[in-house]
Amino acid sequence: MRLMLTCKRALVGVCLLILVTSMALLAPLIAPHDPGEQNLAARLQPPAWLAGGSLQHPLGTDHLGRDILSRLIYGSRISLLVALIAVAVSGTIGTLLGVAAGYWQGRIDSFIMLLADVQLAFPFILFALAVMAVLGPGLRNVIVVLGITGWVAYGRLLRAEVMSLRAREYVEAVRALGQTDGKIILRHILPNVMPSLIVMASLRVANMIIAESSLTFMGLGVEPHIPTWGSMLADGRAYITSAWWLATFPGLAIMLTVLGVNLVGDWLRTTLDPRLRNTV
Amino acid sequence: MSVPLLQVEELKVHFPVRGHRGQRVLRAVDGVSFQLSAGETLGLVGESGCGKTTTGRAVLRLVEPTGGKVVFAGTDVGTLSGQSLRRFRRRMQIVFQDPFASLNPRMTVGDALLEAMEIHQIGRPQERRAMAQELLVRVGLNPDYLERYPHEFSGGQRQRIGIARALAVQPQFIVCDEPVSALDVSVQAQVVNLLQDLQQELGLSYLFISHDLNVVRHVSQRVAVMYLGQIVELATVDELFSAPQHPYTQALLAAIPIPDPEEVLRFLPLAGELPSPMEPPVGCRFHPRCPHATAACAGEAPRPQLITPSHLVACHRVRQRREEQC
Amino acid sequence: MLDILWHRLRRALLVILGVSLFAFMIVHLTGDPAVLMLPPDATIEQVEEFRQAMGFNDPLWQQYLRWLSKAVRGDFGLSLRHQQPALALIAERMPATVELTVAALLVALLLGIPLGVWTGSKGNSLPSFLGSIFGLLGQSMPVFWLALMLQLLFGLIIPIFPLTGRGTISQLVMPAIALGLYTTATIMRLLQSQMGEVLQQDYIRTARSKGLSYTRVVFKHALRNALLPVVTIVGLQLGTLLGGAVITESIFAWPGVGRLLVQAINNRDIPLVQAGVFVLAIGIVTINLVTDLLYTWLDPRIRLQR
Repeated sequence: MRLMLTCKRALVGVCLLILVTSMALLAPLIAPHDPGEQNLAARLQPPAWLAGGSLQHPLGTDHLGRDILSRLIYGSRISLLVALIAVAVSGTIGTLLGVAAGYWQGRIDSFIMLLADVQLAFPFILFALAVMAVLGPGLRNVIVVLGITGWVAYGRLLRAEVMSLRAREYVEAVRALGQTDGKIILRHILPNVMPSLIVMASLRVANMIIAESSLTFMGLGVEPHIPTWGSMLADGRAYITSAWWLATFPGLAIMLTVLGVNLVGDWLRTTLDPRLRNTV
Repeated sequence: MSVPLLQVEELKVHFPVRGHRGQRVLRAVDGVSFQLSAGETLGLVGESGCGKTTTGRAVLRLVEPTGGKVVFAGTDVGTLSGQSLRRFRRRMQIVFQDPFASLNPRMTVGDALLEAMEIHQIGRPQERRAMAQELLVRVGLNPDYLERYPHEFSGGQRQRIGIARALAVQPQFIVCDEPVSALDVSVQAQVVNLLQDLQQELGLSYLFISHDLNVVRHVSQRVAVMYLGQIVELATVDELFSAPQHPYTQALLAAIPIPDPEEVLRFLPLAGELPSPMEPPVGCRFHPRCPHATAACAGEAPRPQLITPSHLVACHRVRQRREEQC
Repeated sequence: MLDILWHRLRRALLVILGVSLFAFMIVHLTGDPAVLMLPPDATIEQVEEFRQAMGFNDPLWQQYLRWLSKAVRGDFGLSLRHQQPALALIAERMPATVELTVAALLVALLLGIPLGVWTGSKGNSLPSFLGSIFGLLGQSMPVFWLALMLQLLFGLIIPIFPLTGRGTISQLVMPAIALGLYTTATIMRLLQSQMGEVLQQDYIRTARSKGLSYTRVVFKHALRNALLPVVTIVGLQLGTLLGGAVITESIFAWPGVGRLLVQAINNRDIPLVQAGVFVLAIGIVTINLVTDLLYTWLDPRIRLQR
């Protein structure tokens, strides 16, 4: 029953993700306007269904007269791009460190886990903001900061998994045969941690989307001239009293995307890795 | 006796345990010595937790010994490292207890056997498949099983695959770590017979670790009894089973169901529980549970002594009795 | 118990040392801290003078040791903008942040626990379904958007709460909810699944078959066992809350450390940023240490393990 339920939810999640992904891939084809095109005559137009709105701009326009729907569509590209690359980078770093810690243990393990503890001690957003302020805002720097700081979740998970795998008799058997550590890890350990890694990566995509939009919202993320959900929200904040749609739609977009990722992640967790079922 | 194939001297394995009370030391193996000749089987028995499995692992350097020496065919295994250790591993193999945990679930039988041969470049690459099939036949399996995955086999079959993998690198010596304890009784005999046949054909030496005294008695020429990280008695099978000297051995033997009514021994119940190997008792480690313990037993640890040329015992009482007799 | 305390304390000190290294390094990320800290129109002479005064020409490790030895004594230097000791500025803002964090945690506990118990003990029903939706949405909403939507709904459309500021209880409501909702959803989801699982256990059925009422079973037997994982989560979440406060404070103009530090970051007021990051990190380490010890003390299984 429980599985059935997550299955239905997963379907909702998959639909949301297909929607967002196709928005990102087909942006130039489906966006009604150029996302940067300004039209000061049509500033702060409300959505089409309100008085004063027009079908020209189904979700209205912002303070520079740019089409909100088009910016939303283009914004999905940045959110997905940053999240996916950051997950790939942090997943790779986390896997390397986690496997090293779990396989060799001893001093290497103590050092890597100390590093993890140190990083968890920092209030993440604050640290990321500080680093972004020093490095300067920009798409590349956002990816670098999120990619480098995001490894801890993978590192801890893989360390525990590798430790238990390493103690398995089949790994010991291969060691007894005289296999090199590198090949043991590649052939016997990594394939067996793949399911957990996939589940973790899928759930982390959600964190990364939120982190990127938070940094951009605070003005220290992606460059302001690139349309992103975070910067649209930041723009909209100033007009919250007069034009609510500016801040509402990009937030909805973030929430639905993150929801889709979480639903699919939950489903992966229950199907691929029963041990993770109880972590929230 | 000729020069032994394997010589273990004062082997020690201590694990640091970081508990809530800070750093402590678990003395899993604490000064174990024995020898093994070519073609011989030495049984190693004891309760679970006595360190017999760790002894087997330490001999193969799957766990690093804390102290002592392991000499195999004239080579001090402890001095090897890196590449030379990996090359040396070809000569000493291991068969594990749990046939379900000892095979990688994501690898076919063929891949597992080929991997073993690749590591040591045994045979030419194009011959290896045929060699793998031969190995399967040798352990009594169908050569077509090469493409199958471990989950398609029964426990007994998997254990045969594990044995085939160990044989793939043509070792001289195999540590059999409880190789049949996880199997059904009916299958146990088949696997034990297979191991014995292979020993005959290939001249293998076994260190046969088990808590099952009947099996050990069946396969071994000599038997060592371990208690809390130390060997308390070591003798030929006949001497150990007909005239056990150490009170712990006597208790162990009394506890097994005996098929032969002539051999009924006096029942010796063991008082108390197995003490923690982190804080082994001072003096003789067995004294808190020993029915014959005296004040001397709590003082000094008994040294192992030969009571016949092939019978070693570490017990104050046995020594005293011998001295009285002289 | 004393050994545990000593062991954990040593670990915490090591972590704080690591934190200090990172906090120190922030300023050296680009290679030239002087250019970073001075306004862009500073002359070359001014930059060189500043560099001399701050000791930026010394080897990095000397600078670190100097910085650390001062930091240990609470001296993080003067805030470039306020020209006051950085630590004093932070200490001054700390009560506001603690107030907000505690309020958010209270929201999470007072909302999350009853909701989790209620929806978790209902099996497959409408409350359980709605609970799941609330949990999922709560975990998917970015804090800053939730904050804006609260302002829009309860500050503008139905103006019951003031939009910003600190002082009255009504000003605390929206920031506390905005900051606490993610944690609320996390606690609720955890309890919901825990309760669902615990209620399936044999001893619960036994208790039921002995004629105890369902409510009694839920509260007396199931809740106690389901709450233990929540204790761990709360410890971890306090750190998250302290971090999340940065954004919440900025949006609601809440005069706490987070807002101060965001301003400091925008002003490139590095000494203040370093002090703030360091102090908050020590706070998080301390909270983790305390929950860790509390947990060891609470859970008899861990206590007996020796």
